[in-house]
Amino acid sequence: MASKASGIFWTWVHSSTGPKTTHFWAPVCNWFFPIQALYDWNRDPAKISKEMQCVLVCYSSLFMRWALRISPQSYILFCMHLFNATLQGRLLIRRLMWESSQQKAIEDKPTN
Amino acid sequence: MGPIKKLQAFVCAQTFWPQFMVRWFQAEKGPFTIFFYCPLAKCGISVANIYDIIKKPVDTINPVQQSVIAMSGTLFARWCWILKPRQFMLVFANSVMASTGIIQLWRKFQSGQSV
Repeated sequence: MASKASGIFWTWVHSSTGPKTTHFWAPVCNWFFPIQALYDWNRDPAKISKEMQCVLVCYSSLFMRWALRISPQSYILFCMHLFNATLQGRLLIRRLMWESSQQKAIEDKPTN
Repeated sequence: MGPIKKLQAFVCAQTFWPQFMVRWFQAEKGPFTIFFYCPLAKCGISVANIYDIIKKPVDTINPVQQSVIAMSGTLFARWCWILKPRQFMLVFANSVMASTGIIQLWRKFQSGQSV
């Protein structure tokens, strides 16, 4: 049984879509997008790029639909883009709220 | 029929379009399908990065995000190259995306800042 299990594992390792190929690592590295958004959970809003965050939210929203329209469907890719759209959207909202508070501070400043 | 299909049927039913436009509207990867907009979204990342290169100061560069963009662009460019059939447009789009990420990282490195 152990040799059969290790056979399955090593068959996968050496397969044409296994971890020795780009077919494996290219989709895996897509997961670094939501991981980066988690890493930047408390990033200073002044240093968040509004344009880049908007584009990343749109990118992930479109690819959520793409993951379900390709054949075969890729639920893992769908989940990844769902997380990414949510987390990058959170950074975008942080930036927009900071800009709004900056604007309010300027307007509330008493004029001499 | 879903709303997109209804819109596609409505647009294709107009008589003023030339035939090649109607064929494009009805294509498997035409403008009424998601397959048309996904490469555009990838290009959008490159455009946003180019805008940030030109307009934004170096201290706003996010090195983690740019590393992910560079690595993802490189790996996807290679993946699209080895796919059958070879996807030249996606190779190009991903290469440009990776290049913008590398340029941003280079700018950050040159300025000597870490975050």
